[in-house]
Amino acid sequence: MPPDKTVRRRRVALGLLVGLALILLTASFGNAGGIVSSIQRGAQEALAPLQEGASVVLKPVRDLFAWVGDTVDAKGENEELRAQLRDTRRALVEAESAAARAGGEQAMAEFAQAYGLERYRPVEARVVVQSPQVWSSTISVDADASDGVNVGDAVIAASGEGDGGALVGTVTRVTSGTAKITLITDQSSQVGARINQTRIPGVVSTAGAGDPRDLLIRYVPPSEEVEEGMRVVTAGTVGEEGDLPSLFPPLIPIGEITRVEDPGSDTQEIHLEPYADLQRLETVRILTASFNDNR
Amino acid sequence: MDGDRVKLGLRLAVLALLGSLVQPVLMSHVDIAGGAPDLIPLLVMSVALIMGSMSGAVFGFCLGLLVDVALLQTMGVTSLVLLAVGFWVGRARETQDLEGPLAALVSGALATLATVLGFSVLQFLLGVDPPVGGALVRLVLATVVLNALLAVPVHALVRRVVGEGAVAARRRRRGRTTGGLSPLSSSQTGPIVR
Repeated sequence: MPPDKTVRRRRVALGLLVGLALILLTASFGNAGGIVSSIQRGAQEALAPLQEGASVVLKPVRDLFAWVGDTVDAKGENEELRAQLRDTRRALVEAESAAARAGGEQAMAEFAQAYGLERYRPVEARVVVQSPQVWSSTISVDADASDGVNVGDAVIAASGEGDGGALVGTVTRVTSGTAKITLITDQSSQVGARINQTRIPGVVSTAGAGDPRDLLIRYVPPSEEVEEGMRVVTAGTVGEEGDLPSLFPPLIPIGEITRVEDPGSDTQEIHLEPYADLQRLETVRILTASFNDNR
Repeated sequence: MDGDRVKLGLRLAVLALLGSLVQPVLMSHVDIAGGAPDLIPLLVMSVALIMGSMSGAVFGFCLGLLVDVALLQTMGVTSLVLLAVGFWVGRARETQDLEGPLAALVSGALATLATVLGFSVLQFLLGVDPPVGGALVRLVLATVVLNALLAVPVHALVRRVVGEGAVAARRRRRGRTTGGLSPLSSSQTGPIVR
């Protein structure tokens, strides 16, 4: 074939590919119910068994990498955990004494129940896929609508997984066999939260692309005193009866404040580190029911 | 279409499928120095280095589609980025005649960087506007370095999977024409005789 004909043919092929990609992008962007999305869901459903199989087969390799990483991090983490244990013991003592003051054993039982998540019908699911993209933080798990999973369900780390019970994210898409979870470190994530010790409300969102260990709690009034080490939990629904309820039940631990930049000023930034290790999730619990509109 | 080309197409399809499975299931869980290796641009880079610009672009497009489907994300974004990466790596190979492990290492690092940057530009165009800071730069650098180290073994593996037949066919084609999009490679300048 003459070279100029080859060049022309290549130009056409390249133009077609670019055009096709742009058409797909335009049809798919922000249109979860469109035909492209339906085709994508169908293809994903076909891929899901392969992903699950690959996940099971490659688990030993993943564990090996995790073991190497854990060993390297173990020393620093050990000291951190000891400090957390001290804080937790102190918090428990405070809570016990508060409960005793409020009316003895009954109050203590209510306090414990408030942290119990059984009423939210948790469904355990295994992480199959983790997004490799810098700009999005998502995972896919092997649970779907037949397990009671719906878009908008809150997701927490399973017990024994990092800091068990800590907030992980929300379900943003459900297909047959899998559910996509957008993590709290994703740029689109916003979580109604409060600082537990002072009950100051705020909104937790990502501190910036590329750092899964750094979040911000925004809209905290500069006049409020905020200290390193304070715990941040979900606020739940705080509006009036009939308002749109929060996606998250109250009092789920999110993370711990690590630093405050420009404290007391209008530009103050309160950084927190999530409790859940979002890069090494193996199993999660999806809260499939809400209780009292998550109040 | 002869049997060899069908076999080659099947091999590339399996390679793309394996890449789209192994990356999110295994590699994205790995955390080394704050970064995770990304096999996807390395696969595209290797195919483009071995088979040329058009094959690289088509492979990048198809692999991008698989990734977008596997991760349930906006279709077309990864395809667009990877087809550009595949095309330009292939063009560099055709015009510079890159050979050897060093070419794979440098191409792997550049392809990874181009993928991250291309993806970032598209995300900004689509309205994603998160704060960007030092953490992102560190993550990108860590990924580029990890991918540069992985590029040589991945390239050797892809070369083995694709087979020497594809390499020989590409060389035969290059013997007939430079085959590029540039007017400099048109018939007026004549074919490169090797």
